[in-house]
Amino acid sequence: MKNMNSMRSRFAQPAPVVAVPVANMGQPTSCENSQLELLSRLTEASVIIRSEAERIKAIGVSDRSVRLLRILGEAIEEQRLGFQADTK
Amino acid sequence: MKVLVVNLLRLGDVISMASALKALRLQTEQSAGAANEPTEIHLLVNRGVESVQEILPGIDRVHIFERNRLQSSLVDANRPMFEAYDVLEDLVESLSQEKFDAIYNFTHNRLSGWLTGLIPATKKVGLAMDGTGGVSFGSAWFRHLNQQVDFEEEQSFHHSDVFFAAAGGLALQRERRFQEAHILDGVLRETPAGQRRALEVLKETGFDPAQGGALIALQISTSDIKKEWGDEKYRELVLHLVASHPGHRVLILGAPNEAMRIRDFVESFDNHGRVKEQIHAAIVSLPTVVSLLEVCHLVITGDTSIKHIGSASSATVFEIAAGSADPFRTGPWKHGDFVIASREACRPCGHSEKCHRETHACSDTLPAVEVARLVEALLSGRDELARRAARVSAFDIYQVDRSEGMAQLNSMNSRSHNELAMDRDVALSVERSARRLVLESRDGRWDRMTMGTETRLAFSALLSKFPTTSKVDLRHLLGGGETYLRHAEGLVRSLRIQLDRVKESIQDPKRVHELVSSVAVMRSRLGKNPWTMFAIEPLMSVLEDDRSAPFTRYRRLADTIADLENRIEMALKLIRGIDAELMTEDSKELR
Repeated sequence: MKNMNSMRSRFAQPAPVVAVPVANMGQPTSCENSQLELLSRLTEASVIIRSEAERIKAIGVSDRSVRLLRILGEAIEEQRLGFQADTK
Repeated sequence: MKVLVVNLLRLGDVISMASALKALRLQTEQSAGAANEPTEIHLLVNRGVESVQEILPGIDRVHIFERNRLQSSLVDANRPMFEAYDVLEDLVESLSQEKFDAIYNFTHNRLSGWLTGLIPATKKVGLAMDGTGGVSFGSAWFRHLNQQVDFEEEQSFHHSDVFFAAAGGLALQRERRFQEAHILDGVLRETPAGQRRALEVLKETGFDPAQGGALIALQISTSDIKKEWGDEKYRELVLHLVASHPGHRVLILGAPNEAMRIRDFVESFDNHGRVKEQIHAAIVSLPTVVSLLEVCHLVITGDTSIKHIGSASSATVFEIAAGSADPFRTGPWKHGDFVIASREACRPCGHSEKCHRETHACSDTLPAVEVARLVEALLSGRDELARRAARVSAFDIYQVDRSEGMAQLNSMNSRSHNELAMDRDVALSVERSARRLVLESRDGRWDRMTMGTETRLAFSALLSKFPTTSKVDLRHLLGGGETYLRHAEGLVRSLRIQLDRVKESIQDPKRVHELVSSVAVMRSRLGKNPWTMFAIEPLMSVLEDDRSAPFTRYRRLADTIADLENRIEMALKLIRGIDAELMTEDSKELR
């Protein structure tokens, strides 16, 4: 599973501003920081997934797309087997 | 006419298809000339191999398959998910827009099969896979290449010859215009820059042909550590060679990315006095290697692209095959080249497998002293090499023979070379010749009117393979083979009769079961004899297919029987023809 937090997708939208209840006007605690970060990551991920899900859905129904994916699968398999396009 | 050639393998594999490219170019120009059309040949290769265009003549455009980029982006979480997909789709789209008339896939793996299937073209030769995974080969030769994966190495055709044949090369080779100028001449191209640099390198060595020594090129590195013979052994070999003649010059070849290793190797001779003047590093480009090997007497190499460039040049190639190197399928292919290989049972190992031995046995059993003596004998003359080779028992020594127009490795020190040929050896040789003709016939490229010529070629190949076996003994073995093949002919005919009877009732499981039992019995009987053992594999594939529908199984069996009938008929014709040639030779000797 890809690390959604660091994924850069050309479909990614800027994360919306998240309203945080102001119960404490001082510095956020470490716990609140973690929660804020998690929320930001989840929001970004959901946007990415939503946009890419539409693309995945489109790919899934196309014969051509399935064949392209097969080629990519073979490329990975060749890498697993250690094939390198070297110059010797 | 626009043709795409697909080769998504390593540099050496791309160079080894040079003869097929030449045949393709000649065929394409012939067809296009008749229709008054221009011709274009495009090449699709991996990124990193595109420099091969400099030395392959007749390539109009190179397309790049971004293998590394696809593989790295698929496994890197920091890259966009669809980067690989988009790169691949762009490539397929741009190739589709070229509107190729024909695609030749000389890669023969699943990735290339799927890719070839996606690009539209009127004609596709080589593996192509459609949307459902259905496979087409477009040529009997490529279908055979797929099957010979399971063959013993001696039975296999060299891959470059399979491509050459599929591109129509064997048919061209038979034409009168190639009787004098051989079709395999000029398959690689020299460049002005390469020639200039080669001359500079030669000047640096101080090589003087008047001194009587030889110019020897040495390639010590390979793409895989398993295939390497080892720097220590190469060092010992070089010392022997330079000590044997003061006029010898040894060029240690390397690509720019190998410069450090090559320089270290050459500098390791600094403490050996004047011999270091005979050893020179040659860090050069591909075009320079092509020009250098045209003036070298000998090139000693492992399984590398240098070997294939050497086979296309006038230098004699001496391959030291270790690891996954498979000399029968991908070894040197020029008539008169040589290969040595260990007799270790694990050789050749798989490309992707790690060596499971405690020592690098396939390399260790090729001692440097013995190899040096062989090379020195070769430099003294082929007769001297034959004498020395016959005394070697620790490893195999082969010479490439192209008497029949395709590369065949003849052993120089096996039992059958030095003593009487055995049934199995002669059967194998005749079967190979028959199989070649059947495949050419299936591709529509062989006219049976030339059976006489083909028989004489098969006769020459047999004599060079078994030089010490008398003609009387060969005739005796061939006579025995004819008897076994006629018996097999009868068995196959009876199976055909049974098949015809079952035709109307193939849905009846009892009938099918009887038929399958007959096939199993026939396989068992034919498999016992070296003259008919070739029937095992095709009959086994029918027996093992228990998933297909009855009609499909029936069709497969009908095709298999037709194939066996053709092969038996061809083998019988060759035997009778070779026997006649032997009788003629005997009569000449008696006069």
